[in-house]
Amino acid sequence: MRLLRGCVMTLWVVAGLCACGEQAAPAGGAAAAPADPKLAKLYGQTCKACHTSPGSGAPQSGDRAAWDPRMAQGMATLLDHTVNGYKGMPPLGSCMDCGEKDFEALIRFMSGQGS
Amino acid sequence: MKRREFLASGLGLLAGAALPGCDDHGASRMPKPPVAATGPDGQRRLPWQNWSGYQHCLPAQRVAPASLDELAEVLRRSPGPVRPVGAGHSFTPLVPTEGTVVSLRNFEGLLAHDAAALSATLGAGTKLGDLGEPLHAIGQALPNMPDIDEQSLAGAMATATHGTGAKLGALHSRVTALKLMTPRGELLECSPRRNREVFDAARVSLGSLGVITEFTLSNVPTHRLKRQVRLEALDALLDGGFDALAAAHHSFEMYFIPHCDQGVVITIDPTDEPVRPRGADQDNNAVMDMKRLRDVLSWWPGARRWLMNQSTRDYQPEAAVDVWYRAFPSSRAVRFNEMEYHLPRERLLPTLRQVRDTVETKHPEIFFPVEVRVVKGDDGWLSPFHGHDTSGSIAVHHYHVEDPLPYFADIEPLFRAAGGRPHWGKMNTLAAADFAALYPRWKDFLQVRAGLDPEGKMLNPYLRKVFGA
Repeated sequence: MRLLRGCVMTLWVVAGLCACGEQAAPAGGAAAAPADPKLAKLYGQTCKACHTSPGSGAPQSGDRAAWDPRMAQGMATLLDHTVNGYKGMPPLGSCMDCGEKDFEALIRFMSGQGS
Repeated sequence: MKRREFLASGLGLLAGAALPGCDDHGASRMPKPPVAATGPDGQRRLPWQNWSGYQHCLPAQRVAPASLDELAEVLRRSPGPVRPVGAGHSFTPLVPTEGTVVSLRNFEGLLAHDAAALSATLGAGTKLGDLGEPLHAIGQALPNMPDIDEQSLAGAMATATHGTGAKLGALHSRVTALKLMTPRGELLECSPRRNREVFDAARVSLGSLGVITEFTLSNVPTHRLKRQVRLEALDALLDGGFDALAAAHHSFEMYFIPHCDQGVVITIDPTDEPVRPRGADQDNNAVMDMKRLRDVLSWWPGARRWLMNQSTRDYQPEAAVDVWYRAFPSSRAVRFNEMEYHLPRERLLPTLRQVRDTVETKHPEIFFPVEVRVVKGDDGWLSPFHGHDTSGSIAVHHYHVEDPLPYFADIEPLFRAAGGRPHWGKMNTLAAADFAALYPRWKDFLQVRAGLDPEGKMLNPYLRKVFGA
C-alpha cells in the first residue's frame, strides 16, 4: 500500500484539525547488539526488526535524541508501554516469554544507557 | 488557481466549518487486559496480549523451552491449558489461557536442506521475515509469502496464512513433512509416508494437536520479482479488470479504498531485471492520513470522496525489483483488528460489491482499505481453501483502539451468505456446528485430535467452542 501515502498527500492540510489521531514517529539510527548473548538473542528475535527500521516509526536503537525524552518519562512508564503495547508497538514487544527484567535491560540497551 | 491551491483553500473553508467532536468510535468498549499480579518469585506475572491488544490473558507461566526434552516436559507437567504462541499475530483467541503460554522462539532457523529436491527444514518458531535470507543463501525461495512477515512459521501454518495468486497456494500447501510433540511428550514425524492422517490434520491445526517444532517445505529456485503498484478505476476492476489481472499475473491483489473511485492494484511477477529496491515504506503514514480525513469529514461523505479522488488523480505508478523475500511483505506499524473470509472464487466480486456498499453507506468510521486476494486450493483437512480450485479472499480491518464488532457484525453475514470460510487467525463468530458444515474432513480431524490429546490439555475455552469439546 506504499502508494497510499502518495494518494493522500494533499490531505496534509487537514492534519491537526482533530486531536484524536496518532502519527508514526520519525526515523533514527541503528546500533549493535547487546553484549550479553542471552539479551542479544532476545533483541535479535524481537526488538531489532522495528527498532532498526526507520520506516517502522519506532525510536531507533542508539538514537539518544529519540530515547532521552522517553527515558525521562521513567522506566515504569516505558515498561507499561512495553507490556501493554503503545501506538505501533505490540504488547510485550513481541517477546512472548520476556519478564520485566528482560524488558528493562532491552530498553536500556536501545536507549544507549546499557550494554 | 492551481489544483493544489484550490484544494487547500477548499479545506480551509472546511476547517472553518463546524467540526465534529472527537468520537471515540467505541474505544471505551474495548476489552482491557488483566492487571499484572505478583508471582511466587516476587516478579510480576505479566498479562499476555495479541498483536492488536484485543485478546489477552494472565497465564500462570510463559515459557520458552530451549530443547525438545524441555518442550516434552512442559507439555507433560505444566498447568493447562497449554497454548503455543508464535508472534501473537492472530486476532482470534487461540492463545489466551490461565495455564501455560509456550513460546517457540528457540525453535528457529534453517535446520537442513536438500539442494537437489529444493527442500528445506525450518524451525517452527522462525519468523517469516527471518527465513528469506537463509533460504536465498542456499538457492531456494518460497513460491509465495503473505503481505505481513511478522508471524512465526508455526503460527502461519496453524491458521492457514496465505499470500495471493491464482496459482499459488497458502504456506501450508508447501509442507512435505513436520515434527509434532504431542501433549504426552512424544515426538511424531509426519509426512505423506509416515503418520499420514496426523500429517493431513496437522498442516492446519490451530496449535491444537500438540506443538509442531519444525516444518520441511518444498521450495523453488531463488529469483527476483518485479512489484508494480498502480491505481485503476474501481468500477472497471469490478467489471472484469480484477479477473483479467488475477489470470495474467503470478501474484495479484487489490485494495478497495473506502470513499474513493480508484482501487489499488499490486502485481508481482518473476523478472530478470536488475534490482531496484522499493525504498521506505509509506503505507503506515498513508493510513494515518486517511484516519485524519475520517476524523474531519466522516459526516460529509461527498466531500470525503471528492478529496480522495482529487488526491489520487495524478498518482504515478511504482515499480520495484528485488529478491523474492523483499517483494512481498510491507510494514504494518498501524495496528488493527481484522476479519477475513475465503469465498468460492465466483462469489468474490459480487460479495465485494456488497462490502463496498455496506462500508460506504453504513460505516463512515472505516478508513482502512479492504484487501482482496486469490489463493489456490489445497487438501489440508482444516484448510479454508480445501476443495477449492481457487479461493477469493476479502479482508476488512478496523483500527486497533476502536471497537470492530459493529462493523464486523455487518460484514460477516455477507461472507457467510457466499459460503465463505473464515481465516483461522482472524475474527469471526462461528462455532463447532458451523465449521462441521463447512469442512468435509471435520470429523476426521476431531478424531485425530481426540486420539492425540484425549484430556484436552491443548484446549482453551475458544478451542473448546470451535471443536465442540
